Amino acid sequence: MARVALTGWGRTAATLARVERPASPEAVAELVRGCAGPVIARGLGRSYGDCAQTAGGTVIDTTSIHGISGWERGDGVVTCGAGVSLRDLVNQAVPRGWFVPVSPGTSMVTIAGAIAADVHGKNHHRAGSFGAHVRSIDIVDGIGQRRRLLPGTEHFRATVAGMGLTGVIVSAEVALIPVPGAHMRVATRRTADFDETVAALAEADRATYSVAWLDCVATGAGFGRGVVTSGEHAAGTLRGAVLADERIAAPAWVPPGLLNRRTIALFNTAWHRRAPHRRDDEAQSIREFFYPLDAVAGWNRVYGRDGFVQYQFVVPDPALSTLRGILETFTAAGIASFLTVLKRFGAGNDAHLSFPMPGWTLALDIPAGTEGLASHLRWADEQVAGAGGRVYLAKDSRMAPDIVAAMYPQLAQFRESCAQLDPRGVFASDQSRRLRLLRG
Amino acid sequence: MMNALREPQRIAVLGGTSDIALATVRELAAPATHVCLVGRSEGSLESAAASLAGTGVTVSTHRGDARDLASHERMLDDVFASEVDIVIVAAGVLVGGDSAEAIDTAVQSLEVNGTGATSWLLRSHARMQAQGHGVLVVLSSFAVARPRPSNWVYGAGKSMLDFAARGLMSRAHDPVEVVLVRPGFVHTKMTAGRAVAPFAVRPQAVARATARAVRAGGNRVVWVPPIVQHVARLLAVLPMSLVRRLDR
Ligand SMILES: Cc1cc2nc3c(=O)[nH]c(=O)nc-3n(C[C@H](O)[C@H](O)[C@H](O)COP(=O)(O)OP(=O)(O)OC[C@H]3O[C@@H](n4cnc5c(N)ncnc54)[C@H](O)[C@@H]3O)c2cc1C
Repeated sequence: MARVALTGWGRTAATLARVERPASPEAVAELVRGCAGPVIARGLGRSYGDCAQTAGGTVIDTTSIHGISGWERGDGVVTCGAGVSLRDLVNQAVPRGWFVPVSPGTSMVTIAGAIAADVHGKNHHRAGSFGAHVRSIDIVDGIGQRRRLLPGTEHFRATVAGMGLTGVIVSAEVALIPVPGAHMRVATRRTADFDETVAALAEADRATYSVAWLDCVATGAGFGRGVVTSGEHAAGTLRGAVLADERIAAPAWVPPGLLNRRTIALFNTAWHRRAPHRRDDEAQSIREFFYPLDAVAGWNRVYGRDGFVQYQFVVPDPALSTLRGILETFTAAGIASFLTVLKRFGAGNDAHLSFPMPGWTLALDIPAGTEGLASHLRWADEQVAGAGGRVYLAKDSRMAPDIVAAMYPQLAQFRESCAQLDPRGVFASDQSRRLRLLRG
Repeated sequence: MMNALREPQRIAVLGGTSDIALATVRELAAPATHVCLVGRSEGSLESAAASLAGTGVTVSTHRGDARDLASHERMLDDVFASEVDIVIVAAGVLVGGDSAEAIDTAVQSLEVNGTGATSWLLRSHARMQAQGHGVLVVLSSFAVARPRPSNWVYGAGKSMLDFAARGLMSRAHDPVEVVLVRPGFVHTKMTAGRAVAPFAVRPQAVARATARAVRAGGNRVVWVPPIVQHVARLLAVLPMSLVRRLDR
């Protein structure tokens, strides 16, 4: 069996592995029983780093495990195969008056990937993360046995945000939310500086969905300026296709260094200028509001050969100044981020490795070839950990083991569950090997 | 595992007192990198370890003799106790020019530069293949370009290593990357007191070029300084009489 080179969405640190694409839970179980070496599940590969690949081992791609059932019950609780994408789910749900309870910034993620990373969306302050809406998870454990995990159990807490390390998720029951229509009512506020952005975002807590885009290159009086958007589901028609395929594709080849400090600065400035100062009640489609990046296929290629790093961290409410300090330092050092997103989180949950906690989260997209990036990010890790915050594992591609242990105090419980579910220790990803997630 | 910014977590230096290898470690290492230094003499390993102080790395020293083939697997068990991202094969002794008169010295040098280093290379390669990833940095030499009266014995040993490294590079679908380094004259403790050849460089120059190649990824042959590649090409086609004259 040929080996395939795999990376995450950031297109860094490729490693080779055997890739299997089983179409049923039984086939998954058989595969796991037959594997001795490292095994890890993979969805649509939308995590940024090395969590869905394992060098020299077997990658179980679960995107062929389809199927959504349970519509007839009418209560919005559906059972989804691991490989069902949020796009498929949204397309089937909206015409019936339902919507996914939590949406990350792309619809091209699988249900299993959404659970394994415990993804969050623009409604985190109200709805929590994806795991809060999962009623049960079926996994194939490390000895190839199928198990059903229920909320409130240790194994459920380990599997939600478990980064694929407790077993292969084969299906899950998810509770959808009712929506009155297929459109959104959106409010936009252009802000002039950091304080204004933060204030506007805090005010937008009243909305169901809210997020801010930041101009990460503006300095001086304009530092931290941005665009805050908030939205509500609007009443209206439920008919019509909701999410279609990408309309344009990024070019297959881009000149090296296309995204550099200068072009990033130009883009950021133009984007800020383009936004209206204040606009209310704008009608937007679900795609426009939730998944704007999905319009361009393969946009990650624009970063060129070196790829890019997404750095997303959260700090508790009182440590907003730490977040500000990191942004200031990066801006001053020329660590330019193409797309910078600020968001306020609500309460976290009890999944062992879940990322969100009440506070502020910032996500930066930075070309991997950026001079001085490694040491600046290392410094930022320490600031974040020191403030009681953490870095998101689904985005991580470069942290070191010690700092992760400090950020995720429940790592010991997580390891215990993994040892119970996978006594042979077959599950491991490049990320778990790099960060020693499974042993100290 | 090497991370997205190509920072290694564990580097092993086989021939751990080599100036070039230590300079390369300094270029490649991140603050949390662990470095395994393997060599014959405890004392020199300790001072090599001390020379890495201040870089933030942690260091362990391991006894290992390139000529003691029977010890290689045991030593690698220690080194590969956890995954190794980069192995630098740096074992080498410099023997005087035309050492045909001192046959024992010549053969001993072949045991180190040739058989011993190649054994380390192949065994490290097998372990990296098993772990599914890794980079082998192989310190070869400009001396492999053409036998010359002054250093063909040294060149003979390095040629074996060099050829084996290129053999590994020739394999398809191999997860292990090979960076083959062929420096010209380098000012090191090994060459101290010898006549300095043209285009001489410091170990840091070799280290920088090597680190660049490792970060770029894939199989690569690195000549340092780059011009010696052209000198090697020229040397290969010159009549031996001229080579002999130039070698003095
Ligand atoms: C443009 C973009 C925007 C994004 N926005 C957000 C956002 O707003 N909020 C957010 O939280 N995330 C966001 N993400 C990250 C993304 O939601 C997560 O990384 C998600 O996990 C990706 O799902 P996937 O199906 O692609 O999984 P993969 O990336 O393939 O895998 C991710 C993890 O899930 C595990 N996994 C996959 N399938 C299984 C399975 N069957 N069983 C067990 N484990 C499995 C893998 O082992 C791996 O650890 C964004 C990503 C992109 C590219």
